[in-house]
Amino acid sequence: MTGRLPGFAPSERGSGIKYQLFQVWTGFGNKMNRKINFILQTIWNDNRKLLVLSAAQLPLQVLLPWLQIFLTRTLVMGIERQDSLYRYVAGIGSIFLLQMGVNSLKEWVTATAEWENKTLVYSLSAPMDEKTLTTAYANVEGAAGQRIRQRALNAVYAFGQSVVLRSVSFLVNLCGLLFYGLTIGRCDPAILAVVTVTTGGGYLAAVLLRRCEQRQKETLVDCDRKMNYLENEGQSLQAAREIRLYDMAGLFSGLYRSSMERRKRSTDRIAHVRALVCSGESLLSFARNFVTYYYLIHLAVTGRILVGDLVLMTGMAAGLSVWMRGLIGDAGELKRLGLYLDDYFAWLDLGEAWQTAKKRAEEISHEEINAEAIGDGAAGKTAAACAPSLTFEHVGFCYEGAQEDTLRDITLTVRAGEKLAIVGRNGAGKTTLVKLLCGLYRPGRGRILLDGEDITGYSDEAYFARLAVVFQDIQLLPVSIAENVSSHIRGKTDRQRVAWSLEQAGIGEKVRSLPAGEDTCLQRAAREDAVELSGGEQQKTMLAKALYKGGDVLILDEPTAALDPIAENDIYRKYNEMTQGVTSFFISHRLASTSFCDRIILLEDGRIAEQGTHEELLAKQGRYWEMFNVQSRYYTEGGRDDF
Amino acid sequence: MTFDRELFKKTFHSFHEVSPWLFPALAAENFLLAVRPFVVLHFSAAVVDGLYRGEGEARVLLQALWLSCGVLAVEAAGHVLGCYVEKTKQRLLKEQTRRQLEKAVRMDYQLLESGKGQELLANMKRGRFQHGDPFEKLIQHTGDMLSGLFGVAAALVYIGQFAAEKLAAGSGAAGTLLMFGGFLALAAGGVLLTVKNGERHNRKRFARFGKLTVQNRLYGFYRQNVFQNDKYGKEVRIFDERELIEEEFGKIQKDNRDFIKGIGKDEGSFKAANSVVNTFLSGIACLYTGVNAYRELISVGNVVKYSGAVAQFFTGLTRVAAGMADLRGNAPFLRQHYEFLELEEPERGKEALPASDVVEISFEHVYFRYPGTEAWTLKDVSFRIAQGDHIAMVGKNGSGKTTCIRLLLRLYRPEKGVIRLNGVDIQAYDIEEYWRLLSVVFQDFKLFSFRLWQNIAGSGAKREEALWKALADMGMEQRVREMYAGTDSCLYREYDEQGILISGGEAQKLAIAKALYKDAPVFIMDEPSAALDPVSEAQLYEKTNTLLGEKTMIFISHRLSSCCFCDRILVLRDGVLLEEGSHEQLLRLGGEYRKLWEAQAVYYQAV
Repeated sequence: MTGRLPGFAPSERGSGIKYQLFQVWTGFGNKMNRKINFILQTIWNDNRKLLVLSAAQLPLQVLLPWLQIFLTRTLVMGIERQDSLYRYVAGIGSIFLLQMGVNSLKEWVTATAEWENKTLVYSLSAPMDEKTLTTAYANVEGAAGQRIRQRALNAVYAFGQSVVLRSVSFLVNLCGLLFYGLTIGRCDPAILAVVTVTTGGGYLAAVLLRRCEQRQKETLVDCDRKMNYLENEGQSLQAAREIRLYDMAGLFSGLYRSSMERRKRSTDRIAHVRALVCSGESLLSFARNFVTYYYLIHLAVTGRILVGDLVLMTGMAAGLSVWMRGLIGDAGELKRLGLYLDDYFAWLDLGEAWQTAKKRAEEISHEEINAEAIGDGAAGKTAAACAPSLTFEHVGFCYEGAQEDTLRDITLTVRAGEKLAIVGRNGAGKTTLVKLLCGLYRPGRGRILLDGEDITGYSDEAYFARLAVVFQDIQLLPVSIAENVSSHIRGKTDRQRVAWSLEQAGIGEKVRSLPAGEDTCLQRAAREDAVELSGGEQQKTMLAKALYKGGDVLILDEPTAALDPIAENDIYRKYNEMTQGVTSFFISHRLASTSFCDRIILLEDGRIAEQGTHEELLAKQGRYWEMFNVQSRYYTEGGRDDF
Repeated sequence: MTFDRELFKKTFHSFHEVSPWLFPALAAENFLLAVRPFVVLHFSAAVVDGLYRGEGEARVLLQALWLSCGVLAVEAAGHVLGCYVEKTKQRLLKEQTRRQLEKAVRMDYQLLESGKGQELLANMKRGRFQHGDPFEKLIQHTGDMLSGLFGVAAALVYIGQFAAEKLAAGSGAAGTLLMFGGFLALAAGGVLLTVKNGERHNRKRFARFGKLTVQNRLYGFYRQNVFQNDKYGKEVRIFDERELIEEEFGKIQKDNRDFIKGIGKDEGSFKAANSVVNTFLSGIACLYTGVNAYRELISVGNVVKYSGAVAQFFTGLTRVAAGMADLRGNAPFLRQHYEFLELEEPERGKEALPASDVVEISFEHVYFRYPGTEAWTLKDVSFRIAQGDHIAMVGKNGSGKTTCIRLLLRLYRPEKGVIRLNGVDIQAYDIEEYWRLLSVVFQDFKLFSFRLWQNIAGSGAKREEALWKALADMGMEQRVREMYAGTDSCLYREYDEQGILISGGEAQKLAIAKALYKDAPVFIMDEPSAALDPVSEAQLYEKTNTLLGEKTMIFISHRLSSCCFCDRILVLRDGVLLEEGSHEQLLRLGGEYRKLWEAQAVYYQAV
């Protein structure tokens, strides 16, 4: 796996010693190493404090339980050896002071680390989000890509929330195991062997439990997903209306109950197996306890160890099995967490459909043009001279996983500055054509040329810079109207141009009437201080956004669906002005819109069925004529008497 | 902070409802958990004493056998109880979320939409994410507290033994009592300190959570509507919005991080302070035990036992204090849950509907404004709709058309004036019966990721024939037959991963099919054709007109051609009913309607 890792350059960022340590620590082979290095880099860059706190936990967590055992030993041993009272008290006192220090430090470190750990999810999701914003659009829209991303996001939460805690616990258990094991082994290897064997039996039990959990996992995940969906929809206002008017409450609770039942069966099974497995472990620990005592008592009776040592050893033997069990559990858990890495990297490494960033030079030159245009403010359409021509050459397209082509053999030349209307029935391929035109997808067959040059030769940035688009769906951010319109941060927003765009889109007056004007925030769903614009007003804001951007190819996809007749008419009347010096595409179900376009394309089943001017197409009496008649019938018949 | 008796009762009741044995089993499990170390202490003391006194190996071994058996018994019983508690806990947790769902889908719409309702829902969701399930925490912390309490109790028994043994060994009664009394007083002081500290800590913590509400909503918005939303993906790319989004989202993330780090700091110093107090007291007590053993006032084995008991005593105390603090910290989250379940529903009418199929609707001087807004959305709106009337409502964006419908649907109640159905205020009818009168296609309709027929039939049984007829009427029959499981196919992918993805136009047709299937006497369509092409749109008009000839129909559309199908048109502007009449009458009137009509018709009449 040699995919691209955004923002990751080990040789630049990593320091030598740290790197060596990681190499030792991981030891999973190259593939694993790369991933783990990336994760550790991320933690190192973003959550350094967490790493320091984690490392600090090791000695503290190992030492603390030992100190308690050692204290008991000292209590017994002092008397046994008949130390002086002064020595006795001093011995106990020093242990207890040590205990106090270690304990409070441990508590502080652990609690702080536990919360620091929660920031890891943010660090890990950052590269994912970056990929989401930059990857080829097909990866974001396609079902396959969405599934991969969803899994990666689940991985971020599952992995991010526990990987550091688990690793620390693993290392603590490992250190404890070594420390106790060596101590006990030096005293009597037999005890070490007993503990190892009985705890090893526990390992089998743990494997059994894990297997059972794995078997149930799919059911649990499925149930939880369904229940979450029901909970979320049950609370949404849009859904609430349907639920009430269509008597769906019973359906919701019925589906919820059936998922509950299924989930219960799974969790019950896990609980049963867990109880069984734990009981088995208890039996083993019974054997361990008795055999350990048996040995030690024998040693003490025969005078080979002191009673104080017996106390220490029994305590440590019990402790040793705790470390071991912990270690086994952690190893399994870390292995499981490791699997999430694959999900995470599946998204980060997801292949790009095409390589971009070729036309650096053009990009720059165009940016200059754009900068000029913006500088001109209201007269922002100075790019007039450079309205491009667009050519489709036998363009065909099929969505990934689809059976049939959505577009078949589209051949079309749009002259520089031409106003083109695209019409057609639902599913004729209009939206797909827009996506190809926008460079969001590349044609499966054929080419699209911008001013005679294949658009695949442009970098995405350079090509996107030439477009101004109003998409069908209204999408606004919970930021100020000005930023929504400019698509850029406050510092890079040209206020004059914002005002001009809003005015052009027919919403200037409304925005001025708001208390904070252009600085008013949008999206009440996200913030209390926002205003809720009506559907029509939102659509106008989207139009303003496209006007602000001002590329030399203007694409409007159903821009008037939510507008009332007057507002719609306003847009039509301004359309000529808006399209000065640009090549434009207007996609609409309202055929009225076609009368002010130079040419109309009628799509049917992914092909151009008819094209020509409004008059030509009517004269032809084909599909367009039919559609226009259907729509205009009532306007002409109903209105005739009165005109 | 006072103990909330009400909340305690409610949660106890919730426990009890799921199983009367949950609490006893939880207590018993934690009793065993607390007792286990004392079993070890008791018998290991016997072992040490036996060895120290030079008793025979067999007798000492017997003690070791007892120890092992005792631990086994306690553990095994604990596992059985633990299994029961875990199973019951899972049931309890899901039962509570089920109740929330049940409440959310059945509660009064206006209440759900209100600030209070939305705030509670958002807070519960946020709480579950950041704090965890409050009931899970409740059980966990109750268990901790109980095991701590039992541990303290057991330790006190041992400490009592300690005192008795000392007295028996001939130590001065007054001195001994003073020592032990002093110790207990110190311990009590320690507990008080811990609890006080815990309360301050929790108050601080909850306040921090409160401040985060704003960030949470924003964070959720970006996650859902930007990063998870492929439609936003287009905007980001074409408009080069990466910088804007990364900056805004970065700010939110930074605030969240700072919040989390802040809590970590508080938590760290809180826990460290507690542990200093406890370890100190525990150490003093240990030293005291040792000195007593040194002076042979107690046996060597018992020094193991008592010093262990003292350690357990403080472990128990720490658990109790932490458990109490955590329970208190958890209380606000539990309170939210009950507060939501107990949100007071407005009085709903009980009156039965008129038996006849004839429906007559009248708005009488209806005024309405959305909660929290000053200006009227509807002002003095009055009109009548007779049985079988086909009404169109038109007007500019924001004129109040959709609001009229929402009032008629009883999603909101008028502030002044009444809406009557057959002469009776609609609020008086039983709401579920009332809703059966209405088939609605909402402007922002919603299809769920359930099976197709469930979307159409709702909670009712599947009526195969009517279902296919509705689908055929909307021209969706063929499409559905081709789906992987016909009408049993799931829509979208959220609920079932192999669900069918449908286009906007198809979704709109299904939404209308759903209304047709319901076959209610009043048919309401709010912008039903926005996503339809001209041919489908015309078909829709003609279909509904023939299918619904006898029924009362209310139609909202910006495509005024639809008005021609209607007997009467209501024209609204700024919440006022401006004009009313037939298409011809209104055109002749030359007012608002004519303006709207001409704006649109001009493009079609040019032919």
